[in-house]
Amino acid sequence: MKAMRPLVAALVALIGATSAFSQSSLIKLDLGSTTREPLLSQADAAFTKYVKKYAELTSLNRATRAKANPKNTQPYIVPAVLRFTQNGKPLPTGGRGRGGGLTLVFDPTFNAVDTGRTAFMQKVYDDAVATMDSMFGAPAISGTVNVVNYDATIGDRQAIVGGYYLPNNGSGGREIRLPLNTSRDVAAVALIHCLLLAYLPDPAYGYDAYLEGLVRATTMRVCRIPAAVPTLDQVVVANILANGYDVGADYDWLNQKSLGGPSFIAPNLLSAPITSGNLGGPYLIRFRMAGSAWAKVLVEYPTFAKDLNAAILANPAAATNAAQLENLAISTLNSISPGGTIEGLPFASWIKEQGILQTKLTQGTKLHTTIFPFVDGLSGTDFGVFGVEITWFETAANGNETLLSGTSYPVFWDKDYNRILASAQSERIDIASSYGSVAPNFADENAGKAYRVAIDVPVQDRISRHYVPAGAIATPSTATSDFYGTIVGVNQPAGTNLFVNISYGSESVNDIPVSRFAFGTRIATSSYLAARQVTIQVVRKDLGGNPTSILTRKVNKSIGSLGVTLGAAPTGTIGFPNGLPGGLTMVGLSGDPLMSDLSDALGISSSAFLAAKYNPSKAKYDLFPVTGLVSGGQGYFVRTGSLFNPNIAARVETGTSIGVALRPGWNLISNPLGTQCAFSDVQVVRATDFPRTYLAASGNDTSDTTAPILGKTAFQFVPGASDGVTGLPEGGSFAASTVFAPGIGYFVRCLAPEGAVMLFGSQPSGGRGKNAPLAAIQQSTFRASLFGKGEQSSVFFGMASGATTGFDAKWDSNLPPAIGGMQISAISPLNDKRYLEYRPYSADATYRMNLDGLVKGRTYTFVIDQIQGRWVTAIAKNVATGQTYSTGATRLTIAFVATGTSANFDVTVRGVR
Amino acid sequence: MIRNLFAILLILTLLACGGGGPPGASITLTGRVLNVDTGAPFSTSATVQSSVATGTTAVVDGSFTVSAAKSSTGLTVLAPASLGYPIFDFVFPAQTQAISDVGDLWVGPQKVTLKGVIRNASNSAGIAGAKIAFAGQNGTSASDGTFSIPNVAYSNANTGSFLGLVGQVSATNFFSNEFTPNGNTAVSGVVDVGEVLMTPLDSDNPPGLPYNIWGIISPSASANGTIVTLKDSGGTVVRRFTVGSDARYQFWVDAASYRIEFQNGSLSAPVQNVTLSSSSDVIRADATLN
Repeated sequence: MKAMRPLVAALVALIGATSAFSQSSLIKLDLGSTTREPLLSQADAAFTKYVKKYAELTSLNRATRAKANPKNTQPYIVPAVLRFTQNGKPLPTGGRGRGGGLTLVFDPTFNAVDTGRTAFMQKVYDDAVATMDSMFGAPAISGTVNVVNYDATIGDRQAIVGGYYLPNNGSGGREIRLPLNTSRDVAAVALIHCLLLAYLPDPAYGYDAYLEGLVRATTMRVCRIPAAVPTLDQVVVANILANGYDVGADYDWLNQKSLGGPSFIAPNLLSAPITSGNLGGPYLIRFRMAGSAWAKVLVEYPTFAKDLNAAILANPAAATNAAQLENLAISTLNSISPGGTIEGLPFASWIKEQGILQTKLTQGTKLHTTIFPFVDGLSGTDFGVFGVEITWFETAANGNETLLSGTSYPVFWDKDYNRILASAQSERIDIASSYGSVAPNFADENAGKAYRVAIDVPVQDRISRHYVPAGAIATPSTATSDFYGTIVGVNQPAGTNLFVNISYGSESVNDIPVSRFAFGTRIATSSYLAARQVTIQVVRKDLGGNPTSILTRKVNKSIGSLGVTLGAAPTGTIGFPNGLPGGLTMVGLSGDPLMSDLSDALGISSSAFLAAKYNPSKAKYDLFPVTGLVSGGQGYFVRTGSLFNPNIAARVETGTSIGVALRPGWNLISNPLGTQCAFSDVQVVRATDFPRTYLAASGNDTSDTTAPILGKTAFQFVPGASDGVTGLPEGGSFAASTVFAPGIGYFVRCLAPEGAVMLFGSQPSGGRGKNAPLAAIQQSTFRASLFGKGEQSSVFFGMASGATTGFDAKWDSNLPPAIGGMQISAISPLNDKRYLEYRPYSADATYRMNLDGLVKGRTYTFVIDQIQGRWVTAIAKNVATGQTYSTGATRLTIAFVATGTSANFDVTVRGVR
Repeated sequence: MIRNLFAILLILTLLACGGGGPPGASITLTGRVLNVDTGAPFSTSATVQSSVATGTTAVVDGSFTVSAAKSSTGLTVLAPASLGYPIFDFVFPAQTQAISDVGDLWVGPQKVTLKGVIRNASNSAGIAGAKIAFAGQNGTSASDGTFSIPNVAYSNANTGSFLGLVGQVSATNFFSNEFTPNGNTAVSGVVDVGEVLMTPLDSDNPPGLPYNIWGIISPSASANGTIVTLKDSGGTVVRRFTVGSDARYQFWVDAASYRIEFQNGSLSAPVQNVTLSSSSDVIRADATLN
């Protein structure tokens, strides 16, 4: 051995750039060079920090989860890989090479507290090794693996986090370091998990989504085969796996893009303390979802993990690139089953729908909501009790995550989108250090029959939507269902009934009744309760019992119960009405893109376009890639160099209502539905208030005297004339919108300090309110328009009872100066530039119209027309020249040549009375 | 102790005077007294003292009503004597309504000072004069946005209730906001809640357009009509902007190195070279015409 330099300070971090486990290894200990003892000491210190976090986490999370299932008290196991690096380079994995198995050498001190523990662990391995080999492939690198007792170092006994694996312990050997779990079942699951980590090739998968997901999925399968783990209590094993490996029945609820990313534990959180009373961030749910996602694959293709490991071994370069890994997975699947699908979808489509498997780092705020039903300890009026847990955090460019605090006012909707008020304790969620929770009980409102509840959880401008079947899972007087769910976006005409059929293997259960789009039943056969693929069909029957199939879905379920949300957000494609036409435009997402990154969603290279999302909290734009996780209902300014028609894979809602969360101030949003929404199809909710119509909430309903929640006008962007240099519109102006159309971005101003939720209805195009009147038009209204070379700009002015010469929130609306484009504005007596300018109804008035952004020498047309009320006299005077123009029959049209970059006209209207 | 003695003497004096203040000028103060150690009302009544009267809290919910002089600005709360808690004085804005609700007044076994800083979310500048309310205590931010509120109820033994308290902050021209201790517990009698950000009450106008290069042309009297030309590193014109009366120009362009030229008739400004390392960077490049 060479002479050793002093030990360099240890760095404990999650992600490195070069290691085989670089993206996915949980702990990396970087050393300059070192002697053996200090190295071991640092490894201990690094892992002590790690496991202490889990110790706290697991204790707290168990307490929370025990509310859902009191029997669910087993500890969590989160084994890890600790990778030593030296001078930035990973030490090679110890061992002999391919072929042969592992030889385990156990630390005899395991037996000091639990006599026979080492023999027990050896037997666990001996019993399971054949199953492990068959599911995961033989160890990529054979040889000795030391299993060392680190209980004294790891400490927290109650947490029992499992242990960790070192491909190289600094001396060329491989080690699994375990705590001395009081439960042998826990110790056995942890050992199997760590052994599977030791099975992996080196380099292995570059992302936690693959590494941890595949290992967890395989650990689950191995441990659930009694013959593979004959010494274990399967009831206890089930609870261990439910806590740390599997989300079971809740997958549909928990499948959210916010979980995605290259690693599951943010670098900065590895050694950060967990505040008492919260979960410390999203990482545990990430581990569980990753295990569950890959378990879905293994349900259909039990050898998939083994075959993918072999493919990685044959092609190590594919380990660190997400696209290559995905292609490798596809080719592996095809080698097993040509044209094979997962849950009926091609792998490339399926993986995009699993939020946890998106490996790209996206910046910005993120919201994850965990929903779980309470099934035990119900009494009295408990009917539909659900836990709602929020994880609210922000990801930085380097992957660090900030655990945020805040407040959410969840909104509960019945099937007709009438707000349900559960209880005072459930109407507000205070979030501290990223965590907040409530447990609403949805009362029996339907004579004991189930009903669907839509839960909107908004935090700032993020919102999550879940559908739960109240009364369909567990009540004090009914047996707990093991198959339950909701149906969304399905029409149910009067005189028809909905039913759900489920088939699995040769068995089926048909005609499960649906009540108010919710259903639940108890099947309880061993065949159904196994982890397997099921086919679910929603059927509508008329009074004669004639069935019509509405939708069919294949689900690869985990062991036990299954909850599903059927029909919600079917995958489709969205775009923009004019595509991305080149130059500056403002667009909106009328569906929730599957991809979490905006450039990925649009299918554009991140260097080929500019995008911006307004951040009212900062009063400035967030510029891509800081725009954050992309989601439906968001609007963006986008600038492209040429016409591009994106075809965005997205979940597209068309038959339901979807909420968009607003922050105080200006919000750049869009209609989240695939269909046009009239203003009358939009509700607005503030905190715990009852919903108001958009027109009322924005002060446009004169019969509603309550203070407005929103600004008077929703603005959309009108691109200006083509720029002389680029030949593309690089500027433009804002115009009031009369409808919320799909694909368009809108500026909406929220006046409520708590924020608000706009609920966009499902009325299809052509439905009620399609041609709602211009929100601002009241009494006598005139329009002043300016037409130039390829440009147009308009403002509205007039008289209204109740209006004053000052600024009236109910009548007036200011307009910003155009930036790079031609713009007309009405100058108020307060010298504001306005888009809407109303004066008292009882007086004649003169309005100054300012025309800006003109090109000297160019001919323009200035038009006044009256669009509401009796036509009255109007006289316009060019302020610069003094020339006056008289009224035509129904409009006043003036053509003039610009003598400068701006002009003013005074327009006097008379005789309104 | 001396302070408590003064308080008792004051109360006795006021009682001896028949309540003080002109006849008919009294109001009723209502609210709740809660124990930060338990997060609940006291199981035996606490005492609430105004300048003119003494009341007790209801065991069931901690609520109280007590007469007070109009425009009262404070109450004193004494926890059940058996607990040995310190006396808590609460100061609030003058109450003038016939029945005025002063909200939840939290008391506990310890007192801490709550500190933090109120900042403008748009530019991180400290906000002066912001009103902060927490656990029944009130304060105002200093010129740099910092605040310090003494006598806030706390329990060294049980921090759960304290950590769940929600404070309010309001300031002119900003949306009001809430905050929590955010998991921060007392260190040497001080709980630092860190930064509390407030969103400015923006104008009625929607925001302007996005940009990542911008600047102001001076002198402002000469700025109108200035042509600002953006060229790439090869000298090709990328954009051109005509400055208006606001003397401002802006571009939204890809990450690259650029050269910015300024011309207004015979006036010009020195060329500026800027590099956007990322399109999410924002660079300001002002220019002075001469």
